[in-house]
Amino acid sequence: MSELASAVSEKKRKALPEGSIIYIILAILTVFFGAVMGTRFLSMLNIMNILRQTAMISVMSVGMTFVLSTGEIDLSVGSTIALAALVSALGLNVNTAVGVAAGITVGLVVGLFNGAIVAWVGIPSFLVTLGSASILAGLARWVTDLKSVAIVDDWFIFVFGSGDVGPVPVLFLWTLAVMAAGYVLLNKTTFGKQVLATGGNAKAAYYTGINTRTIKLRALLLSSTTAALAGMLYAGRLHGARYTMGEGYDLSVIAATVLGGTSLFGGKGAIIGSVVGSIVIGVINNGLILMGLSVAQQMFFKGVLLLVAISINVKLQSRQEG
Amino acid sequence: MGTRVVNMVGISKQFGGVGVLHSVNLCLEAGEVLGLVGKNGAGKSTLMKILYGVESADSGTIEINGRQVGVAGSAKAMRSDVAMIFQEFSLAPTLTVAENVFLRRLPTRRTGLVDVRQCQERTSEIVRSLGSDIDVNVPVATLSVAEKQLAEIAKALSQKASIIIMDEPTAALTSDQVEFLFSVIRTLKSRGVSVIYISHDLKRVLEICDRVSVLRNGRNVSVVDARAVSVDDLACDITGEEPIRATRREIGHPTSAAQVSRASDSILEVDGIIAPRVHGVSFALHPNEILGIAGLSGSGRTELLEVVFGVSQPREGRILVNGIPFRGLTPAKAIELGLYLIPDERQTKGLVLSHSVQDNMILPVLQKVMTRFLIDRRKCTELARRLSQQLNVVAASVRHRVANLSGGNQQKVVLSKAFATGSQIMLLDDPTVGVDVESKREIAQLVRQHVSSGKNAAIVVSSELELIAELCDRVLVMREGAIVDEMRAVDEPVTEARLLALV
Repeated sequence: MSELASAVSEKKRKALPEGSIIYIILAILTVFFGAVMGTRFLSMLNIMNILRQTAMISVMSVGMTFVLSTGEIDLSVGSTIALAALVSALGLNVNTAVGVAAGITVGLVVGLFNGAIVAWVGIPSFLVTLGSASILAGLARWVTDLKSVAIVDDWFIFVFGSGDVGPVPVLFLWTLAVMAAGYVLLNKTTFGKQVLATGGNAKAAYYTGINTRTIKLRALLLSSTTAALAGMLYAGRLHGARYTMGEGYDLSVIAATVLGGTSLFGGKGAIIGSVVGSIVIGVINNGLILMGLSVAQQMFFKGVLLLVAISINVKLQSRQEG
Repeated sequence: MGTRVVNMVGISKQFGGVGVLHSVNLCLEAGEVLGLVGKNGAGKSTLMKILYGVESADSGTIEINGRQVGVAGSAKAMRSDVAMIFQEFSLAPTLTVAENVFLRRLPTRRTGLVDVRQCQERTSEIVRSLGSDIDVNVPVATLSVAEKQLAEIAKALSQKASIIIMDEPTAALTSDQVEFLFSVIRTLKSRGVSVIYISHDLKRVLEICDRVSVLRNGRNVSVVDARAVSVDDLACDITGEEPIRATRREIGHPTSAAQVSRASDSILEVDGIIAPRVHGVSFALHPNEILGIAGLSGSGRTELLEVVFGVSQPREGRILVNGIPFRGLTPAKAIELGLYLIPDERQTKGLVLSHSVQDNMILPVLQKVMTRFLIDRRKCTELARRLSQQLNVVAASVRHRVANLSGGNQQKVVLSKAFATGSQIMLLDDPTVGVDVESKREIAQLVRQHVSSGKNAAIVVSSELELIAELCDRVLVMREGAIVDEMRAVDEPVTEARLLALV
């Protein structure tokens, strides 16, 4: 009885249920762009377009949610996109299976590399992934000699990026699948609980019998594997790969994840929030382009809007928790 | 006697309606070392903060060096002639000794730049006068604890402080370092500087102090001449127990002496452990036994338990669980073997504060709350509710954040993790620190309950010697990383005062 009463009073105290802020931000942006541009923005075609463009960030934000939840960060996802896309494209010259396997392998190797240094050498992931980002960007340029690699494998192009199943883009299905898997993994498995505990208080988690080092390693592995998948989706959508792919994606992914309600300091992760956060970023990108802003103006206003949105989000969250 | 430098009369202080100081008097002569002793919560720190000026008193008068000073505390009121050296030093680790000593008023040249040479020369002058030859140009972070203390003292002297308050200064020192500290204190004395020396280490208090003032429950109990009093008498003053052969309170649980003394059936054996701060410790733990380890903070007690639980590795020695030796223990492995450590700092080592009661409780037993491959939320809630009931955790709901619970309830959440794992051997490190009286009683009861079933046992480490005296069948006294004494409740009454005299 008293439990019920206090639960009710707790609801009353909080003006909004936890994690709802991101939906309000999304609604406000949609109304704003809809009011300014009408059906050009709100058409089914454009909405599918936004979902297509956002898929890469969405997929990566699921992996990033795990990394941030352990209290670490991964700044190498952008470069992983380029290298995975290129290696995959080169592998497709042999056959489809080699192409797919090669792309995923890039993700696994990068994740093990980052994770091993963070876990066993004990350098903060911020520095490790900053370093590996440079290594990967260098490799991507080196292996292709700055050339693009075209993809002509129809199956790959359909499955990874360009296909539609009825009216639904394959990219949207990928987003849903990765989101669902991530949601179950974070909320319903021992690994997920251990990730959150490690980020919430690594010392206490260790005293509770959790191997916090392998947990961090596995989180970083997830992040670079989703980044590699995103790279392949990118390549499939554009029918080719180039070393410039994924530039600037690191910040978009981290911003999307934080917008969605995942704590930058660990201990709290929201998978669905991350995907919605990615869509917010997609809406901002798309809206600014449709408004006819120059690239320079787009960059400027994207930064402003992101900072405003994240500030509102963080402020409201800390008020809810306090 | 000499001139009186501090005279505090009738100091009273309340916190939230609870009196912590009741008309306390304290006086200090020039060039005197005054010991200030009492249990945790006796009012020592509050009294010293009032003297220092960071805390206000509700009533009373304070005279320092013949001048009446106000009792309303504030940052402004901090006395220039009083310096306080805390256990956690107030030094900037990356700055040099010299820079730290003159941090708040660095000498400058006419150009406005810091006069480094003057800073160094004046600091090394002070340091040498204290009988040390440390390099004043190295960062403080590279110094040993004893050297940091010296830097703090140098800082106090450079500010012309004539009264230095030292809070538990020997806790982290080796015996050589203590000797050095004492020689520094004697130098200070000879120069007319007065020292107020707060410590639980009664032997050392009597060694270095001229007089000792005892506080109990916020009241003056006695002021004694250090040469005329024994450690045992002092311990009785502090605890309020009768001096001779105090009878043990009758709350013990049935333990047959025969069962305890048979070493062959020990469930945990620690054999010659050498680790940082632990210098060759051996003991055995028997089924249904509560083994106490009485020691001051810095005696190596925490380090010992952490070695047993696999948090850190011993340089030498063996740990046998149920007769089988284990190497390279980790907490995960130790939990598997049936051990569970209730760590000394529950907020940093015991709990994920931002998570719910439920999420904290299920953490060590995630396998138990799954159906097939997924965590079952209903099972989590069931387990958390059952544990909350068993341990009487008072929270609005099991989904409540642990951060919002009281200290006692937080500690019970930590304990519930040990119960959840079904551990055989509970290791409790200072389990009642910052815990209310009612929860203390409940925690003691839970430990008793635990050891009464099956082949369970517990080790209790505590600086609250009252708890150890009350709870334990056998007590090992730990001092400077070694076991120096052993007492059995069946042979002799184990009292708080006796333990206090031994640690």
